This record gives sequence, structure tokens and C-alpha cells, in this order.
Amino acid sequence: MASSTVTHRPGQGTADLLAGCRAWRRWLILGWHDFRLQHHRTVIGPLWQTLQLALWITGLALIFGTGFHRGVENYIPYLAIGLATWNVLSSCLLAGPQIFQKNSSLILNFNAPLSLYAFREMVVILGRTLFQLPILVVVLPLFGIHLTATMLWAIPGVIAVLLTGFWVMIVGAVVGTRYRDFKHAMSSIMRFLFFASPIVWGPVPDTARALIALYNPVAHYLEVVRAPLLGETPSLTSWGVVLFCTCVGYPIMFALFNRYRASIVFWL
Amino acid sequence: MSETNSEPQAKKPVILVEDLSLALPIYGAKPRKRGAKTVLAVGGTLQSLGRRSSSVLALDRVSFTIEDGDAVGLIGHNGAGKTSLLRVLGGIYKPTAGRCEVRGKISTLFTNAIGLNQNGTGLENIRLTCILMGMSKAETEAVVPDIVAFSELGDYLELPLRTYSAGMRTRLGFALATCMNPDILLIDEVFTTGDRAFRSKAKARMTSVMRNAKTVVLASQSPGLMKEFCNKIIWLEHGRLYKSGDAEDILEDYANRHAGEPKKDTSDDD
Repeated sequence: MASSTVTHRPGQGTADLLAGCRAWRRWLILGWHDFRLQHHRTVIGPLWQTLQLALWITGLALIFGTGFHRGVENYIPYLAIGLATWNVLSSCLLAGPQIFQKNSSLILNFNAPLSLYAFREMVVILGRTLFQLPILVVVLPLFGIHLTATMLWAIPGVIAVLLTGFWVMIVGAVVGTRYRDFKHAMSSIMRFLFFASPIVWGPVPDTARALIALYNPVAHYLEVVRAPLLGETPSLTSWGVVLFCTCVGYPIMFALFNRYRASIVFWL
Repeated sequence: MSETNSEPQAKKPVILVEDLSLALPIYGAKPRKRGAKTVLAVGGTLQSLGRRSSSVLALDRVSFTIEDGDAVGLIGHNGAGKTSLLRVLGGIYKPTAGRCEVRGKISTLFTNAIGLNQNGTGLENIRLTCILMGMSKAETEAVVPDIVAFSELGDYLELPLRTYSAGMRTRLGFALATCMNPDILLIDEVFTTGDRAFRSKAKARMTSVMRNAKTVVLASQSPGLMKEFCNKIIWLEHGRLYKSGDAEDILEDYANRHAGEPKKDTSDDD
């Protein structure tokens, strides 16, 4: 018989995260179901994700392509990969602050690890990304980029993006549940961040843009995924920044979650 | 099973609560009065009504023990702390002081609003709720027929959950909560929306659950229901344990306390 001692103890956040990891079957099923139900009663279902990315690429290419293609060799693939990666990061940043609020009735009535809801959200985001990948598979060869071994380097890049997305989500969830301004602040920041990151524009060397691309961490995340797929090697600076951001996030996440895990329920 | 020691078979304690306190912080409230502690007819003790923060002492140094096989009723006025106590027992709230130890698998029925997705069908929600409660796919499939049969919702199970009435949700929720064969079943006041036919079924199910020497903690406003099900009662007032003990004695005291009040139409004469 399982015993649960419900008292104030340090390490509750870590215990919650471990329990969340162990419950992988739960959040996998719940997340996939969640994703499917987002397209409930629509005709084309999840193909909306594919269509959205296609439309976005077309629109941005037409409007910004002529003005901003300097510094970018192959604009459309550059844009497509950048957008797909941006979607993952921005979804994590935006979804984070609202997760616990969104699930407040479940949290207050079922005893489940809080991290389960974060994992579930990650599954939904991955589901969306899955339906965006076909666009890349079509666009890249169309513009002359074919499979090479260098592309495999994108895999660690994607893993870094996902790991960062997770800690950002948990930290966002903890802060956002307590301070309701946070989700609004996040949405404003993301809007700005989209233009401050080299997605529709390229970092032409020795210009202000290159400086922005250097100091914007998101730029480096884009770089580590995009460069290998375009046949280049990502710079060591980019990998340095990405590794730093990924690693510094986890102690922060554990510290916050451990300290406030017991209080989060009271903030709902 | 023969006991090797000479004592009569003592019941194992499954819920141990010692000096349990729960202070609920309240955010975003802008009360007009400041400072004073207000004692009201209902609710927990308001600890502070400040401009910045308010808190309610939902539970105040509550201590009790519940043994294996007990069917415990929680009674008290509105806001006495019944739901808060159930949530602490269920592991949803962590106490702000004191200890609460629960030994065994817990299943909770706290709300009618069970439903992971209002747009999903009844059957889909059954499966998802089972998975959320921690059952594997195989276990889920094994209990689905039992839930379908017990809830008596028939073809309604193919329709979205948002089309269900509150009573229908209670049926579904109750079936779900009892299907897991938990060691400890925690139930909040949800029976009021079930119809009479359902309530007699629920009683039958409860009786069988209790016959398996499992433990039940039930919060209710209906003394009739308590008399039917419970062998022990815990009476909370403003977050404090007022009285606890044998169901009959406590219920008599409770009835005497409220003797002067008009009788509520709770239809508990089943």
C-alpha cells in the first residue's frame, strides 16, 4: 500500500517532477487527446497547423522577402525553419504562465503531480510541430537543400530547444500563477521578440542587426537548429549561449518549484 | 488469518491527523474593513483583512485518527472546513502546520464537474479520467463496462459531456470514484444532485464499498445520509474540531443544536 505523508517538506518540487516523469503514459495520452480536441468539429483538423505555417511563410516572404534578404543565402528555407523553431519556443513561453490556471479545476479535485500538466502541454506543442514538419520536408528540397550528414547536428539543437522550453514553462507557470501580470507581460515581450530575432531578417555583419542577433539568446537557439539544416555549422558562440541558457535554467526551475510547490495550489 | 499476539484484532489507523492547520491566503481581495478579526455564523476564521493580504484559517489545530474500515461523516456549517479537510486528506493541499498521514490508495469525488473535456463524449471522459487517476490502459478497459452499467447513462455516453445535467455528472463521477477499488474514498457533498433512484444505488454501492472494510470519509449537510452510512462523525466549526465520536451520539447533539431551525427539504428519508 502506498503511503503519502502530506506535510511541509523540502524537495517537494523535485518529488513532483519525478512523479511527473514516471507518469509519462498519463500525460502522453492526455496530451495527444488534448491536441486532437483542439480541432474538434473542424473539417481539416490538425492540418490547420500545416496550413497556418504555409500561409505565414508565404505572407512573410512576400512582404519582407524583398527588403530583408540581405545576409541570408536561401530566404524561404531560412524563414521556414526559423518560424518552426520560433513556434516551439514561443508556445512554451506563452503557455507556461497559464497552465495551472487553465487546469485549476483538475488540480483542486485530483491528486496528480503538477508537472504532469506541463508535460501534457509539451505533448500538445510537439503535436503541433509534427504537423508543421511536412512543410519543411517539402520546402527544403524545393530550394535546393538536400539531405546531408551535417543535418544531424540539428538534432542536439532541437533537444536543447525542448529542454529549455520545459524549464521555461515550469518557471513561467510558477511565476505566472502568483503574479497574473506575468502572462500579459509575456505576450507583449513575445511580440517584440519575434521582430528582435533573426527570423524574417538576416544578421548582416557589422550592422546593428548583427549586434542584436549576438545579444539575443533566441537568435542562438534559432542558429543551432537552422544552421545545420541549411548545410552550415553553427558557431561555437551559439552553442555556448544555448548550453548556458539550458543549464542555468534547471537549477532555477528546481529552486523555484521546490520552494513554492506547496503554495501553488493556494494561488489558483 | 490468525493473530500471533494475544490482543484482539486492533483496527489499523489509516488516517492520522495531528494539530493540522491550514491557512488559506486570499489574493486580490479589497475589503472595506481593516484589521479586526470577525466571527461570523459561517466560514472559517478570517485571520486578517488587510489591504494587501487576507487569509482564512480554514483548519485550526485539528487532530483525529481514522481506522481501517471506518465510515466517517464530516458535518459542520457552511465554510466549517469540510472541503478543506478533504483536500488535505486527498493530498491536494499541503497543511501549513501540523501533520497529516494517509496510508493507502485514495480516490476522491469532490465535484460534479468531472470532465477533462466538455466537448469529449462521456466514454472518452471516462477513459481520460481513469488515466488521469493513474490507471493503465488495460485497467481502464477492465472497469469501463462497470462504470457504464452503474451510471445507467446508456447512449448518452456517446454525447459530449457538456450536454449532461448536474445529476448525470454526479452519476458518472461517483461511478468513476468507486471503480478504482480504493483503500480510502473521500467524498464531498455531491449527493444532493442525484435523483432518488440514483441515491439508492449509491447507497448500495457505498455499503458494498464499506463491507470490503475500506475507509470512507464523507462530507455532507444531510444528517439522514450520515445516519445511514457512517459509524463515526467529525463535527467541524469554524475550522476547529468541535466534537467527534460515534455517529449516533454526535448526530443527536447536532440535531439538538439545530432543533429550533426550520426543517430543510433534503429528502433524506430513503
